[in-house]
Amino acid sequence: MLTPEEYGKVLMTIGREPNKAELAILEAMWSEHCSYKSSKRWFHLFNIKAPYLFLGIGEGAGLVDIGDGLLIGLGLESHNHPSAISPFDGAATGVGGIIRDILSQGCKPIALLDSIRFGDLDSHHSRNLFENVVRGISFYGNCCGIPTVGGEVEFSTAYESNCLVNVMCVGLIEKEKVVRSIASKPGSFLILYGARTGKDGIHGVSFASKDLSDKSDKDRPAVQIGDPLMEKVVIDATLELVEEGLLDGLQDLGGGGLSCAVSEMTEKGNTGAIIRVEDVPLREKEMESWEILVSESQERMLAVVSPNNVDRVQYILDRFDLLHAIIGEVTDNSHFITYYNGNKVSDLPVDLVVNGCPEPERKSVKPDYIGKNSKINLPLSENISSEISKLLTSPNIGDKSWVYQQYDQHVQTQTVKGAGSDAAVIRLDNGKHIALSLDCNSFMVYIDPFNGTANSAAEVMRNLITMGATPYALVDCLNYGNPEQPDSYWQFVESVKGLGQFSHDFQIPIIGGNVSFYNESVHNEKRERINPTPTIGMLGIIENESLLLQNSFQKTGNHIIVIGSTEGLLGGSEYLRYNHGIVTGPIPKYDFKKENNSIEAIINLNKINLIESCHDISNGGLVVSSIEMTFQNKLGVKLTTSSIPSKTKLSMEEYLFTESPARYLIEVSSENLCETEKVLQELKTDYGIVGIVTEKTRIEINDSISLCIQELYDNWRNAIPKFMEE
Amino acid sequence: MKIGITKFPGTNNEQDVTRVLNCLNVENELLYPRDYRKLKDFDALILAGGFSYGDYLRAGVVAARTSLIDELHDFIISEKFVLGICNGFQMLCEANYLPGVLTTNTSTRFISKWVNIKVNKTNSPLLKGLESKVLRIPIAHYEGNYYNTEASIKQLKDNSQIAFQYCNEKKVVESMSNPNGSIANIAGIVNDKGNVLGMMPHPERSSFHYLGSIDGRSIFENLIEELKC
Amino acid sequence: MYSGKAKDVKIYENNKVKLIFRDSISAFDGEKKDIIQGKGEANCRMSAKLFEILNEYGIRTHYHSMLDNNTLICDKVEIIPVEVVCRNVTAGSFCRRYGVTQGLELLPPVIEFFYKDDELYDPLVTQEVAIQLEWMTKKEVMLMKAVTRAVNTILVELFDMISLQLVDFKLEFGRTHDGRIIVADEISGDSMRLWDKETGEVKDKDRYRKDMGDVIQHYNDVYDKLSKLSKLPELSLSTKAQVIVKLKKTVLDPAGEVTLRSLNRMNYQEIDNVRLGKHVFVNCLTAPSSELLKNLNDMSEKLFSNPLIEDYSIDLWFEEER
Repeated sequence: MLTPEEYGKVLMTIGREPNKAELAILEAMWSEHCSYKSSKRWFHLFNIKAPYLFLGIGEGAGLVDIGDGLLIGLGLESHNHPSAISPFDGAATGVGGIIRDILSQGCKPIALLDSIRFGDLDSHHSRNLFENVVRGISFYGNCCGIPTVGGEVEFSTAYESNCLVNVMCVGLIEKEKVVRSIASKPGSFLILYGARTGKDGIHGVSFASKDLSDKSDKDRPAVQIGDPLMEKVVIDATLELVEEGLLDGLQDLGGGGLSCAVSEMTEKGNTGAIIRVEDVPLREKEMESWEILVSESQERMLAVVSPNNVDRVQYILDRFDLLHAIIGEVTDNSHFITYYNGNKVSDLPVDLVVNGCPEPERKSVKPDYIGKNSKINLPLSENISSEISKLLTSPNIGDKSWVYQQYDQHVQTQTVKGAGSDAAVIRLDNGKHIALSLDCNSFMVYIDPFNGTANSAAEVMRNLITMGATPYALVDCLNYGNPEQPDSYWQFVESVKGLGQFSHDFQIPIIGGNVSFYNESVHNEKRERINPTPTIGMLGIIENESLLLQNSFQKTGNHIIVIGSTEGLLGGSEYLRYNHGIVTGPIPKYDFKKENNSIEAIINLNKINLIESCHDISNGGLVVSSIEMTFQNKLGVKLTTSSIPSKTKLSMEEYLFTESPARYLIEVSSENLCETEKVLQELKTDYGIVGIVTEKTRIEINDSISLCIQELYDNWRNAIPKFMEE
Repeated sequence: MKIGITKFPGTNNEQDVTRVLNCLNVENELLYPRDYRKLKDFDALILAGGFSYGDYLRAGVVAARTSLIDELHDFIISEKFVLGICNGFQMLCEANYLPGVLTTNTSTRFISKWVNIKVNKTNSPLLKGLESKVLRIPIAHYEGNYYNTEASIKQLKDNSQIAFQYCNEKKVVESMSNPNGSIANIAGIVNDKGNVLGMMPHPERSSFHYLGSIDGRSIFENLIEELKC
Repeated sequence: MYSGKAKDVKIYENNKVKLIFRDSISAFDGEKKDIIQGKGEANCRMSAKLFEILNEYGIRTHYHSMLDNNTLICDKVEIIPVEVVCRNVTAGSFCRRYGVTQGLELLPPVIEFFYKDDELYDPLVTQEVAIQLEWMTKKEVMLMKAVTRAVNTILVELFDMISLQLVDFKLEFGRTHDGRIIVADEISGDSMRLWDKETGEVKDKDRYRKDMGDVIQHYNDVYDKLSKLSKLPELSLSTKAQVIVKLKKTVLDPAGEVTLRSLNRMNYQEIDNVRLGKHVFVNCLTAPSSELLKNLNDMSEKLFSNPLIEDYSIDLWFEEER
């Protein structure tokens, strides 16, 4: 429903009452999902520039030039609301949607990553959502032949009523083959191809733009059903059309359906279009024009084709047995006009449809909980051994192979490092590698949206650094509560500021993204809102194979060094949350200089091959990071906390469990230790030689703690299966 | 010498097989279902994996009912080599070129992971020199659970037609190493003449060092070697 | 070869028989009997006409050709000893049996089975009894019901064109030497109730049962009107079928096991076995027939199921479209 203000704007612009079809188009296009009306005023805070940027925010995929005439395309989008209502289909179509976004620029999709969040696993509802979201992603992504190489899974009561499903797709294309989502030449034909149009997902965008309450179950028809076989054929056919250079423009039909694709492409091209609704191939006989115009049926693409190329395009689509139809033409009159059998159905100025939505005033008020972060009185526990043991059973820390083994990670035979590594590494045919990570620390963001978001982005970056990559570009998926609620909106604004700061500091361009509001609902009169969750997907480049790093200890006797000084703040840590049920307390502040210094250290050491293995210190703190490094090669570790670099002396819990940023664990051989220290000293890096890799499979800390790795491994390994495989 | 690689709608491993064959410098060409008349131009055929026709009804069955797979009958009779990988194995079973059927994994979930398989002695030239070796190789399937009647399994054993069995790193075929519930840990079988090999694991995904294993490459090398003879 | 109340059956050639219509007429299980001049010919040509029309729509019948005014050449069949009656409107024995008034519309039409035995006064039988006593198989019942409903749809529309209401009718079925089930016997004024839509005038055998007179005149009037029709009703018949594919009992069903465990966890402790199967719905653009059922069997064997691990069952039916 348009607001009175929005309706007034329409009346004033077109000088008459809009009809039913026009209203449907405007409702879809002016929904939060399509118009970004509550969020776009803040996007100027982002760094959107880089010398190698090829195409920034605004189309299906952001594109960056990685040399050798190749571009990498990135897209990241949420499918939260559909997944909450129908987890299998919602997640599946979420995968499908982002693949087609990447395809819209002509890219070959080469990798998928998923960030998914649910309530705690002891809830039957959450287990069901989790099980079926994973199945949906597996069903769709596997069938399309795109490896799912990474992502994250997080569980927290904050997501019990509103799960999050964010999917990132990565594409590859030669520079001269790029297709834009633009309709610039009047007289070009608009060819719709792929699946038929049905009644599914009608008003899906409006659905995604309201909060989920108890009655949402009745909204089921707003969820679309995905057909990955159709998607795979659409991919194959599109890549052939792109290869032959037959397309002047291309956009997928996502939120807002046909109306959105036509109006956005003509808006970018300063053109208009006429559409003959009766020519749209339908799945159901009885569909009204307005339904056809806003239907969100999946697996459909709209191509702009010059008259000379129409025959060839149709020939290729026929060879793939793909349904296609010329449904209209590009015009020069800046209007989006539709006809049904010669009768005009709608006539709206393109500019009104795409840019006309008035930006509503949103109040931003700091929530009550912020700043009331009570100080944590340590120690919370005397038995550190059992705390370590317990922490490894947390599903947020434990092994995620239950999830990623359901995803085909190896198709396309370029996956050098898949899920389970700090970041995924994909080999390209030119010998370069790209590293990919998708992550968010929502607990830190909740406690302090500005610093939490910046730290969280830095954490994603650290995941790339530990693979030997240089950060190159990022995309975001900003998941928040209801923007009409001042406290939810404050979380959003602070978060965007934090992300903006990060992107400028590190000169990493933000090349695409998506905002998902209304991830809150009222159940039994209780307001339930997600943690503010700015999921960040980042691309890194590994210039040559020798820079590729391992994440596991390699050899007995090697030294373990902590890079970056440790702050004792436990706020937002998994230790406080999981072991003690506390999600408050001050979190470490975002510190560009410190973060950057640590990165410099790793990059420089790696350049001269001094690092045997490397892992960032994040979820679970130093102790969990070092334990994780022992698993693969069945080694042990001996640590001394007094050697951990820090400004002040800290308690045992702080040393072991804080997730303070800018820190890494590296493994260095004895013969390289001297040179390593020299480099670190030159860079003025805070570091400490904290231990050695041992042969006996135990973790020993100081002289007080000694735990069997196998038992810890079992805890870690079963953290998720123990809920899902009963 | 030319090797065909089948590409049905939904097939998604054809490029991966092509990559290996190109690397081994052997002429190869994609073969689409509409091209079934061209089958005779090829010396060997690889049925690449994926989700032919979405695998919606039963894995591989719709492809198995196409003219291309029908025509395979004479191709096989003439003792030309056919290698079915993953979905290709499922097609060969559904078309009755190999005995048995691949049904849903006991976990009822898709499984993508590295496994070890033991190579048994068979009369297939495709496995020459690999006998009793352990290959480290990835699997990725939802329906890889090999099923056949007890009598048929016995017959497969007696005829030395069980090509691969899931095993542990120490070559022991045991239930812990069985990822999908296959009877007798069967990961692949050959026909009685040895010219048709079907396998669930992906040799094309273990043919390059950067992928962590080149154990699968020998199968392609053997195929090319045989064709040269 | 066989002589019935109103017809004789004689061997013809090539698995064919002659069906000779006599002028005798009877009612109330043979208690009332007469000869009416021209009645044999009237029913013979009416049956021929209706069989030809049904054939047009793909209904398989035993009718082959008309030999002379009183004789049809038909396929030799083994008559199934159960008559199928289809009722659109309450009348006759239905009203007596259930104590309802005549003329009530039955939607969807009701199907009844009667065992053909004059001595027992052609009793109403249930499907279970007919199957148990091996008068017909389960599959035959399914097919006969579907065919009867399809025939009903055709005849209702047909008679509607000449302003007659098809109240009810009876069909008999036969088994051919190769096991197909086809419509047999006759379809005529003797085997149906027809009322004039405007006047309500009775145009069928009730004229004889109730001594209303002019039996043949009315039979011939119906025939003449049918003959004058320039075209048949436009109908696109479709038969529905569902195939249930089940894993064989001896084959492990992991999905079933998971579902069972889930039910038990949800505290449905009384469940100890769950098997999941596949359900395939098929819409066939033809009238129901043994051939169609055979094709469905082939589809199930070749595509829907894998005989090594799965069994299947087919359900076939015809829905009147209103």
